[in-house]
Amino acid sequence: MPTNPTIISLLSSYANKTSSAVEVVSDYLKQIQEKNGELNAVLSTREEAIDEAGAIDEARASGKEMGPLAGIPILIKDNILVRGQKACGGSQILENYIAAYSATVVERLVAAGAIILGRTNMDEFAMGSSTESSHFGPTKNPVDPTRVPGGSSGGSAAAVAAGFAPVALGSDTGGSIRQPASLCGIVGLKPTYGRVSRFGLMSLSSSLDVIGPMTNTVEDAELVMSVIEGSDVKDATSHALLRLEKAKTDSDTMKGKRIGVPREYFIDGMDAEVRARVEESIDRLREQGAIFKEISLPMTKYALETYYVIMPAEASSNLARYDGVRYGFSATGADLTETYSMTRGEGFGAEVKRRILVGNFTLSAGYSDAYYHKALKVRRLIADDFAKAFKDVDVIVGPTSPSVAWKIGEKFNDPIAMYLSDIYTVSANLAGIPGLSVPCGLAHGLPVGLQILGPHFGERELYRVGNIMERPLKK
Amino acid sequence: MLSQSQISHLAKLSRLSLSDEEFASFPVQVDSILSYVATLQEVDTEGVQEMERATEGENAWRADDPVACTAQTRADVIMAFPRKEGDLAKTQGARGGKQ
Repeated sequence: MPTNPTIISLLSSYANKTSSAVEVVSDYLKQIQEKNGELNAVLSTREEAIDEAGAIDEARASGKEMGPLAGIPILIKDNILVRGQKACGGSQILENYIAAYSATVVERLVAAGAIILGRTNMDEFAMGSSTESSHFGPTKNPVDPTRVPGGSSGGSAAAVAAGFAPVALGSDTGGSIRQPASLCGIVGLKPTYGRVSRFGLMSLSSSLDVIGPMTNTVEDAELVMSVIEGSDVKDATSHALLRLEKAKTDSDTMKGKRIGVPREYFIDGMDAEVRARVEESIDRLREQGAIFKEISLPMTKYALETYYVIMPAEASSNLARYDGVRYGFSATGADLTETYSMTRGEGFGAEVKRRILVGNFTLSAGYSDAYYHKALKVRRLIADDFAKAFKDVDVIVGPTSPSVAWKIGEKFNDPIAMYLSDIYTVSANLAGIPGLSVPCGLAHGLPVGLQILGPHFGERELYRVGNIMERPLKK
Repeated sequence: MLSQSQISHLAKLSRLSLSDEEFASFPVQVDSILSYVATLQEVDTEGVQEMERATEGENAWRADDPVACTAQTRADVIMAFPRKEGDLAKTQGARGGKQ
């Protein structure tokens, strides 16, 4: 397991004056310079970061009140805008695009004193589960560089696991934060839909997308969330929150906590060692006083199919904006229609094109009732399953991914095999509920993640269970 | 199975030019995805209301007043135009014209 510095430990080193933001930022940049060549997790770094760290150190020295993340370096997934920096979404079509404004999450991080260190690699437009579909080449898993880091936020996961930053932002549409966090052995939180503003995030599937933190510990994820969450006038789907009371350490007991284990989650073909690690986690929580209940989420078996109708449908519409007229790569055809087709044909990779074709098929007259509208109804049934389950249990636990990290290239040309790696994560996006992946040991020498799901806006419960899960690993 | 002409029609609707290699591989790949998701047909959804968003929200209204972006954002947006004339994005005619 990684033993990289946490945000909390860096903040205390600043408070104790045992290190400065300039030293910390310089160290991380050095790590990136030395090791990123092999991993390809980071696409670019910001030269301004050291000067910004210097300004933070000066402000601290002069006794100014500091933000909650003052001097903490953070990496940002390539589909989240940072003004003046490239933002490509891992795609050739935006290869030279420079963001004209910053995402709300970035503005909030900077206002809290965080230092934007650079941008991380990802599957093209977040369409993938392995970070192999990036126009900028695949990212490697730092635990075993012959393997994928998961995806689509694979660059962020690999960067945190490799010690390139104590935190990176990811986005999660069907598991893109939790699955790579699991495969790289770090913590990843997919917040409740609407808890974090999507303004400045490149839209993949607008009813599913959410931004969240990827960190070394649950406590760090909670701290970053406290900075980025909350309503935003620029995102009508964002929710106002009552500031959640921070989970107190003395209330970190599982006594009486009702935890559901869906019988449908232990499927045939699930890796036996992954299953063993998840069952050991359940035992660990039981020892702490949690009460386990077997629950049933019968519609879960349709979650992946539902997801792979809704997501491409929304994506085919969202990606219509990449037309070569206002920004990004632009080819020149004989007329406007040909210009569009050539720009998109040359600018998009194969998986993006496949999903646009599938999306436009399922939305087309004659097929939309059978596919798109049908999927929206099944989505309701999946959400109802969770709503019913959360009447009986406080949280639900299971594996984040059915397998550990696989070899680079192994599933790249088999879309369905790739999609199956998201089988445990997509249903949370469909239902809009939060999900936290925390490391729970190794299988075949590779990290395994435990996924903890909660009801809408039930993040606090996830933090508590996650905190308990981390304790034995810290021994 | 989807025919090449169906893929060709979908690609046209999607404004996507495809390479020969994609024309060869996409019918099988897109068809495998559509066959995979077709199992949804077995679910009884009689009387079920469609779910379009992940959390129930209220309408988020605001006054219909234009809010200007900063001069810097305006300049950055204009700078990103692939083809421009002055401060305007330049494009071909939507009805077959060259400009």
